[in-house]
Amino acid sequence: MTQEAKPLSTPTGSSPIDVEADAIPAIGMGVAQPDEAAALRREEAGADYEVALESLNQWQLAWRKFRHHRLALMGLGILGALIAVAIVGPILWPFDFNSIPKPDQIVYQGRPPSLAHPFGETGGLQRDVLNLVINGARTSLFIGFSSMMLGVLIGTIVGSIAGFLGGVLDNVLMRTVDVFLSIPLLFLILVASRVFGNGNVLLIVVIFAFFSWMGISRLVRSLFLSIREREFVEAARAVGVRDRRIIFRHILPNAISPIVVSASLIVAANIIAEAFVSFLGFGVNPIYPTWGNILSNALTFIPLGNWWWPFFPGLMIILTVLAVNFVGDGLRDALDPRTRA
Amino acid sequence: MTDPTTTSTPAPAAPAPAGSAAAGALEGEEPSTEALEQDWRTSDLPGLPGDAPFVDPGLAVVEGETLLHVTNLKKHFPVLGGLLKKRVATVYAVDGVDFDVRKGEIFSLVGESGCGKTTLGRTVLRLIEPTAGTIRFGSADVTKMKSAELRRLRSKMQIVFQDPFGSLNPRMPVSDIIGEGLIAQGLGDRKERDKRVGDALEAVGLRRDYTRRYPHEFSGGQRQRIGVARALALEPEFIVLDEPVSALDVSIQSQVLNLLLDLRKDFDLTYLFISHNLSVIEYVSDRVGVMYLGQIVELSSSEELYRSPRHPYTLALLSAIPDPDPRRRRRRLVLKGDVPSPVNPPAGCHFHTRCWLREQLGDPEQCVAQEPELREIGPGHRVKCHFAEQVSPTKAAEFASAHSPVEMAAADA
Amino acid sequence: MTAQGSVEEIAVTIAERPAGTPPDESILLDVRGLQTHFHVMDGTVRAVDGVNFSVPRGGTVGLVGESACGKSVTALTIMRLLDIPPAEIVGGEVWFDGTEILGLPEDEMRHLRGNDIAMIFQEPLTSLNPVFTVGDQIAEQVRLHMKVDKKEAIDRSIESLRLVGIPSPEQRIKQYPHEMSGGMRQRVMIAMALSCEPKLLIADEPTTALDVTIQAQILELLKSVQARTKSALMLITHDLGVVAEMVDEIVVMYAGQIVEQGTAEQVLTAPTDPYTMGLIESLPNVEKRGGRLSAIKGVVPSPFNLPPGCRFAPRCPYAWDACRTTSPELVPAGGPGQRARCLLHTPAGAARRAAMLDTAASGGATAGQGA
Repeated sequence: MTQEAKPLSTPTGSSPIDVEADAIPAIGMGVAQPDEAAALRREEAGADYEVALESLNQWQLAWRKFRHHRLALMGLGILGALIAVAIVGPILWPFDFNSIPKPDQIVYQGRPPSLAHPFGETGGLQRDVLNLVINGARTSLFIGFSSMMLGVLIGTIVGSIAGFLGGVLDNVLMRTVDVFLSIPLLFLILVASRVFGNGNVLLIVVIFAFFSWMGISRLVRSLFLSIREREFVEAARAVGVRDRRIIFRHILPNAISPIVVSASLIVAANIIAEAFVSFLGFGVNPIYPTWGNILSNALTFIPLGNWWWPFFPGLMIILTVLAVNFVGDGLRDALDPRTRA
Repeated sequence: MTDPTTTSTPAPAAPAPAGSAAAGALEGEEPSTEALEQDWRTSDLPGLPGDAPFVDPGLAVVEGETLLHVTNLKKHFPVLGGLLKKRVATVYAVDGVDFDVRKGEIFSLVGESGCGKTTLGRTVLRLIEPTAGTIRFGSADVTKMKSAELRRLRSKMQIVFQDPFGSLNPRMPVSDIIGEGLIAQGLGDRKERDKRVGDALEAVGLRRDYTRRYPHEFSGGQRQRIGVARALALEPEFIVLDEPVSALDVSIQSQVLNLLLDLRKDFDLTYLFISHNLSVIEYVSDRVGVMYLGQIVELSSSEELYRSPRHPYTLALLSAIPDPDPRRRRRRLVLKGDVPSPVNPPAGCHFHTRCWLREQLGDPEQCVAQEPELREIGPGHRVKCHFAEQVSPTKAAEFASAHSPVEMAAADA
Repeated sequence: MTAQGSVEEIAVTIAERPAGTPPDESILLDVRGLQTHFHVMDGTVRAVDGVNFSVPRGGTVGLVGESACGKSVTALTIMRLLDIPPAEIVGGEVWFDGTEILGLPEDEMRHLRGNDIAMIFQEPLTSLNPVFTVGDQIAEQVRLHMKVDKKEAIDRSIESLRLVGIPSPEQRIKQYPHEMSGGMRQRVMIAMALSCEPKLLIADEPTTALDVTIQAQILELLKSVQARTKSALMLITHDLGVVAEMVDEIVVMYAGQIVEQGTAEQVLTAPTDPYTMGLIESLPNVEKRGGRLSAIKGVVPSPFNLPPGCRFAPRCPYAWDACRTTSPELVPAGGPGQRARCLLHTPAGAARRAAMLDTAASGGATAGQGA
């Protein structure tokens, strides 16, 4: 009989069960000598010779599953690269809207991609398209992600209140959601951008967030309604846990996966919406490049054959949206507790 | 323990004779006096030589200080319908229940799904608000408590749930699951809490160092132990065990039952044990209440209930238990139809639509017209039936032999 | 069927059978060396690992074991209802009515399912289509497998509902599954399964989701219908009480293997494999009141990491060194035809067994767990 304490999981984590040693009864496991009944109990429980799989929390488990999702991994790579460019690019190579060329240097035609300007140059002010795309990435991604975060925050708060408290408040909030959903959204965004936006990036974020929380709030409400009835919540109540802790420690952590998944889709939708609004000239102040207003400016040059001007920002939008959707898809699988890696 | 009818004692690894010879001698050849003493179930129903004594005077009623006192408890759930969410019907989940649980005993509630036993267990703890009635715990009136008092009470009254997967938060490590009650009750500092969590884990047969693990790393039986540890950490006096072993495999069931019985001894606990499994109930209980459609229809000491059931439903329930000894094949008393909906319980005696005794007595009107009392027919033995005195294995046997099980199953209740 | 008869049958059914040749005429279903694996991300699960058993014509066999022991996968493999992949039938033969069916083309297999082999499941609601009336569903089944017109199919449906004890079947066939109670639905499933008079009925935990009084109804029904139609019955359950009532022969499974087989009486009253003994001893009953139940210690091993040697050894109170290195075979043990997968019944374990019997004899009837 060995007297050695056995490690809980083997360091490699690959062969979690060591049967020979496991079959040895309870004594000498590094715990105070238990009395006979307790020893019997431990033996029955299998505590001393059954060792579970590696100890992983939910995020580690999710990552294990996520890794097996090739498209999601690719999406994550692209998204990571884009975000890095959006952060670092403008610092290394800022967009200088003061660098207006002399009138005699203004040309009507843009220049196609070359070694010096791999994405080509625009017509008119002869700006470098790569520089525009890099600086535009910052604004577009910033708007996409921050409006999502704000929208998810609003949606989660509204949904939590409606789902947890229920009753009249639930009714009022959900009817409000219905009203928001029945408003012709695009029209309102355009009006709001014109009236309140003035091309200010932060205001644009707020406006977008204001119109992207409804889906989340419905989702969160229904999650609250179902998780509230789960036995572990009842168990928490039974030991006297207060509502606040039930919401933040029990319900929200279990609601997080579906929220994350639909949040990823909101990012994609808002990046497209930003491009669209800017394209129509209602978005961010046109002196700051965004992917949308680059496209918009390129519009009149398309008949002249300046394909590179709209192509590269357009490509970026497509890439970003695809990447975000792939990541969302991967998260859906990875966070689904029914599947195990 | 030399009685050959006990299935419990197969010789270890013994290439025992197939046992058919012994089996043949089991029934019918025993002296009738002994058969009288026997549990009525061990005999083939029609062959039972005589009725069990009406009340066994030798059976002492378990006496003790009353810990939980439930009077006329009701829980009605509204069924909402229509656009305006108006109440269109009522589910009479628990409909007027009285019982006491004495200090140190295991009081069991048994019944089929929809009989209200689970709702009753939750209502006693006020996890579900009762519609009417009173619950006294010790000297306190639980029904009148404000939320702060109720929270304090939680450390005295605990619950263990049926589903070992659903009752543990998958996003929480074991230390938080078990320690949460201590935080909520404001008990101890971090160090003391950690120690108590470790103690609770050890008490249920798990290792102290499991605290950083998550529920999905454990098997069903081990999770159920964690659920027990959570209840135990608060050092309660009273625990509601809601189907604590029903979701577990047979071999794990017995481990958890052993654990629960050990803990009762070690920590002076009182249990309200809820189950649909009649064999488990018989093994653990001191006293048993049989529930049917939101009411207790029979209440007695476990021994007496299993030996001489006095409610026609109890008798049918006991007769339905499959017996793992193939040598004891007996004729079964099969009830007709299904349990009626608790939305519309039958008038009078709730059981009259399926009652075999009523049929045998020529359908007396009283069963439909008047709801029977849960009346005392012997010391500590209460039955909710107008004709409890007429219930006997002989009658049941006559009925069972006159009606084929398939015919019974085919009859509309 | 008398106990004596079934003992002889068992002796026949487990006699060595050469691969590739049909079994004796009296055998309806013969499963030989069946191996079914599941390929999942963490590795391969050997869910069914070399299972041999057979069902005589008109006979009743129970497959018993705890969750994940492979009993349901065995049935699904026989029915060829597994999704491949992740499942893979790695080896073995299944002979049904003189034909090897693992190699049958899918359309012939489809004909066989429902016609000759029918299966009923634990949860009847999920196996019935919610948008069709039960009458439509039974009639469709009948018309698929028997060449009859619509009118006759409906008549047959009514007849089969009556057979399973459903009151006023003429009205019931117009109902949808959700309008029926659990017990009623299970009866409809049985009616559907029996509507084509199958030679074999496979029932996978048919009463587990039902209340005890309804379970009693369904068991009585299955018994009487089986006796009337002379179908063979393969009953899969974890409930020892249910098998005791329903079947003549029992196959006990643990971790993908058969650990014991024999007649119901042999297995339940004189078990020879330590796992079976543990299962039976762990059942609570009134005689054990006041004492501890003799529980099987520990938990079922992870299917990804089965112990070397005997799979039950880490939990077995009788295990010794050899058990942890040698994989035991299914060998004759106990009564005639009875077999167990335990080294105690091999020459290597003979001395230990004799010593244990001595202790048992001197130490009273209580089964000594301390070996």
